Amino acid sequence: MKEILHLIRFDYLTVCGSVPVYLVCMAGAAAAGLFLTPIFAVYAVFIMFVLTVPLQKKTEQKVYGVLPVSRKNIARARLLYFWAVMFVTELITVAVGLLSVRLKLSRFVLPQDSQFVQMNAESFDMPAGEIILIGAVVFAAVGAFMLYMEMMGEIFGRENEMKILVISLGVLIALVFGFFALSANDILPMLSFEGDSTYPLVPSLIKSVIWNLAVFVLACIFGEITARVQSRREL
Amino acid sequence: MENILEIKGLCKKYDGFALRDVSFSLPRGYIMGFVGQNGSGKTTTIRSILNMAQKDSGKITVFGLDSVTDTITIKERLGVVFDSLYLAEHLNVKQIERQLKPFYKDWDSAEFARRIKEFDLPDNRPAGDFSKGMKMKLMIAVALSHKAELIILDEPTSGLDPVARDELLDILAEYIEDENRGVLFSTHITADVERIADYVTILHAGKVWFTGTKDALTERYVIIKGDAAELPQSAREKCIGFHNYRNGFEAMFPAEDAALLPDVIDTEKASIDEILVYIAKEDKHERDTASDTV
Repeated sequence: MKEILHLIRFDYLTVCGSVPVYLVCMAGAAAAGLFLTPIFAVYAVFIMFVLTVPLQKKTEQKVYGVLPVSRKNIARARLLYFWAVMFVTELITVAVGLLSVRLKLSRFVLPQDSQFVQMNAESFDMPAGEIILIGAVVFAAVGAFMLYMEMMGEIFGRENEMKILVISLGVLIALVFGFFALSANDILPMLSFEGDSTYPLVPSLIKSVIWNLAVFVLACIFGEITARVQSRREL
Repeated sequence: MENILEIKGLCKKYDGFALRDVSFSLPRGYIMGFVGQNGSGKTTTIRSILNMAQKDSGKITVFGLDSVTDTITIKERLGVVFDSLYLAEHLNVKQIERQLKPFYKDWDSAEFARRIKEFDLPDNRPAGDFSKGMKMKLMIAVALSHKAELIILDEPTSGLDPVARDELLDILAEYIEDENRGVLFSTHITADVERIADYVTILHAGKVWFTGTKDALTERYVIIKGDAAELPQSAREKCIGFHNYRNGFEAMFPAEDAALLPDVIDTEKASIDEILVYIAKEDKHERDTASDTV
């Protein structure tokens, strides 16, 4: 476990050792979320891309052949690093969203009769539970996507990432359309997305924890699959 | 004499290339020059030692430990210098230290700072901006800071200017003053081997052609020159890389059989560079035939 934590730190320092680009994204998300509308705090999702995508380009594979670490832990740590980035970014987003609703700082920045304020008026009335849940769902979706792409890239090669993306999206779209087509013809039951719109705090928190745990489990599973494939390969 | 590195019967096959039954050992307290043409298998052997390449068969022990099952323990005590920087090029020296330090129990920050100062490496510039010589020094500083007992260098001097090469060799000579250490130094620049190596292993086409002390190698062969007509058939069969030119022949010859040669044949001591050249010539079957007479 200690080795995995060291490797996660290693990856983090590799990405943001020189210029903390992610701080710019974080500042942007905080400013947009606090002064415009809490929804804009989701802008922080870009931190995930900033802290994960350059990792492949900035890491020389040979270093893992020199470091005293197990080959399997390298893959496990990489996927857990992705999850950690997702989780921390989600916490920041939710914090910015909650502060935005509480402080309503936009009233000092934007004219209250402007069309933008009118359109986003409802967002300032969002209950805390809704903000927490939106954060969890958005980051779970983006996190799962990034974990999947990382695993597939490690298994099938970085050069095939675009192919993997196109094929995966194609399969996903086909499945969704197929499901709706079957539902429309009463072959499968129609899904109902209507739920409780009051978002009480405790159940929302529990759901949020479940979403985050689900992505954590996914990171562990993908990490294990990648580790098994990687351990048979040469560096 | 305890061996710090021992390779027995290493075999590794790739498409179009194979390491075949590679065996050699390096005793503690010595520098071994690991030489051979480009593509002879030096890097594959080093990658096998580091468990970066998975060997097909054979056994590699470092510090008496198995290179596969004890790879983590071995790497704690091993320093590596590749021909290019394996560390993140956009990071500066301090950031690189922060990255590496947690992985080594014996990491000594004071030693790292001392080496960085001694090697004149700027600590605020990205390592990618360093010259090739500075990158080599940085990798050596990393190795010395976690008290590596064995340093493996893969073509460290190729592309270095003479001053940087000289500095690197001096650093290695100083490092080996501690008799518990060892250096395996892969190169095709044989002048470096002539200067600092105690042992030499020559790899040719994936096989060990020679392994032993440097003196034993250079005493084993001589270069002979003269008129091919004067060379007895029995001696001709022992020639390595025989080549007949318009004004005479040249070949490498076993020194112990030099007494067989007539006085009209000139003999001189073979350098490691010449030995490599004649091995390559022999491989190309440059024999005394009408077709290859220049």
